[in-house]
Amino acid sequence: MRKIDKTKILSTHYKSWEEPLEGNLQNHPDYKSSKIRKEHYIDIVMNLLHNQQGLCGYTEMRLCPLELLGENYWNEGRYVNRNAEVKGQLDHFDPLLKINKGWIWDNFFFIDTDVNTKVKGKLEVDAIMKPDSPDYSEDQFLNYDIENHIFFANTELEKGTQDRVNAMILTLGINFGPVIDLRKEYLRDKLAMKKFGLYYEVNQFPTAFKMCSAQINNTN
Amino acid sequence: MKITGIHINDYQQFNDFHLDLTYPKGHEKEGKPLEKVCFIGQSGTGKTTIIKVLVNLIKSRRIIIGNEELKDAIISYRVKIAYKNVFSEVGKFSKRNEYDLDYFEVRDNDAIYREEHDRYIKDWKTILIYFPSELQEIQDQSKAKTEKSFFEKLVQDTDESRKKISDEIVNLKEKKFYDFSVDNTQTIWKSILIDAKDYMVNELSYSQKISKALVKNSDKADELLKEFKNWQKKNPSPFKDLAKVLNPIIQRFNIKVKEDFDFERAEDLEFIKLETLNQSSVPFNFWSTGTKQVVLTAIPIHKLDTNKTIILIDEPERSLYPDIQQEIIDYYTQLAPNAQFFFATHSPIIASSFEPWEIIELKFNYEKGKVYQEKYFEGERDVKNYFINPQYLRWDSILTKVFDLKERGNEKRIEKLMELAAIGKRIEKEPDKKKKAEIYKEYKKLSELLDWETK
Repeated sequence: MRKIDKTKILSTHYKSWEEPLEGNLQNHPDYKSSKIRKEHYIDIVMNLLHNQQGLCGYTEMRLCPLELLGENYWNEGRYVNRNAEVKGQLDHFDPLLKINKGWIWDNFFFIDTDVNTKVKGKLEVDAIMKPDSPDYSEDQFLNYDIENHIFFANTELEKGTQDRVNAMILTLGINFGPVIDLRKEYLRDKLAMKKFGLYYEVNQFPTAFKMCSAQINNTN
Repeated sequence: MKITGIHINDYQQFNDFHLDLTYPKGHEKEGKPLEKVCFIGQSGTGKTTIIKVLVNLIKSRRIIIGNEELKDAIISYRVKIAYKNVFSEVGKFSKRNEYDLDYFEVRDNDAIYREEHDRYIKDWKTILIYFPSELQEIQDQSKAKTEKSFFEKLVQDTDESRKKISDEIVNLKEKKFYDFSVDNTQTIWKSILIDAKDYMVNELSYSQKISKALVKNSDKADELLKEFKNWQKKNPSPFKDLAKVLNPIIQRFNIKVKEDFDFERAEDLEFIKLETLNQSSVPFNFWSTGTKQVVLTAIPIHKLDTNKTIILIDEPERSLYPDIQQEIIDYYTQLAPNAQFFFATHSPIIASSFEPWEIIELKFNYEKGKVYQEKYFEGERDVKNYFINPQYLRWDSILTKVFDLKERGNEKRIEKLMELAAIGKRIEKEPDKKKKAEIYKEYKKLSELLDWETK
């Protein structure tokens, strides 16, 4: 899970609506409100995907082709292709905030649907692994086991911190079975191409690829 | 008779649904009908429905199955099925000699067609054998028992009993469709008993002749004895024959077929007798469900003439341990090498017995509410374009790649793999060799629990 920088705001139309809500410390309108969803949902999604380079915020699976992420798709703070089809769902990192702060930008990430519905759901979260947290860094927090293609907490961390990180790896679906299989299959191909000196592009799972490459380079 | 394709227009969850049941391009049997077909798919997708539809169509003679000029021709047909199981739609059928297709239309209620059909199959033996998944429940002990009256007829030697047995023989010989969701395995057992009685009569006749000759002329007796042994060699006793067929597989359950039978008590002939390898009798009530599954299916397949037969088996894995599942498909196909088999299964082990073109995976299209066939090839249906072959996969890979299971293990396993990886890191970083070896013990113990999964 890469660190995500969410400071780039393309969805200024949504942001100009959301910021006063924050300023006034008032409760947000119902997250399920169809009127608000129609107005802002696609803008939030496409802005997040832009910041996440089209990848799932937690697992780094590709959810959207890069072509749909260009700034040319934005006009007056709104994404112009209102019917754009992307895989995935909008996730409230902290599910407790969904009730009264359902539209807060800070709490949103765009993630894989299965991870959202089958793994994360309403599980309690630990902010230590919030991808845009100033203290979060994948290199400091994570290790990668190239044999089983699973992430685990960096063993350099304090034992208590390792436990917190490991718990969040599971909560965020980073080691969800189907994700492991997909990651394993994808990286095996890319790593083989790299090994044979062939041209390759890595379009998803960049953190795992980076860590695998480093381990292979160290071995050689 | 072999089926080369099925087309269902509109029936339950099937809509304009077509299955090509021939070997694909590039296969040594390209264009010929598949010798065995395996339906897989989630519960409710219609595996059993298709099997039952085939059974109904074949039994109700709503298909054309060749003509006298093309006795061994490969048969193809397309079946159109109307809504609500009323097969009133026009079916499109083909007769073909080698690869020349000659399609013609046949109406379901067309009397001429039915006459033609009956004429074609007149000399054919068994056309259909169907084993439902609930075979064991249907063929319970009371049904599997030969009724006493049959036994009495068999052992009595009156004109009336001979006539009745002769009628039974005619009925058995004329029976072409064996649907064991309604038929009784006893039918097959009766025919074995009739054969056994004939065998014993012959055996008795020889022994009487030999005894008489021994009194008068020892040379003649030797000659007769030799003749008797030759006859025995050419005509194994029906029970010995069954033992030869069943023992290789049921011996794995620590049992075998009892080969010595006598016709003294009706109870002795109720059904095939099994005994442990130590020769203790095992009554039917004590047969394991796996034993029943094998015996109740293998006897008809072996005993009946299956040269032009379609054999359909729903859930062949029922009650069988994985090691037997691994062999059961080959076992059945060897019993009936010229038949065409259709199986429906939930077992990845059963699926691994099939070539990829022999597997029909049914899937739901949730948006349309219909079922479609998942393709295992890209582009043209050519052997070289197949990207899944269950015969090359490990069992767990079959589960994920063929049976679409999303996960390889449960969450507990993932947690332990993470723990193992962390221990591995500790070993790497430990400078002290003694301590390294200590941590390795921990690593090895956990690795064994996780079956040393690597790569």
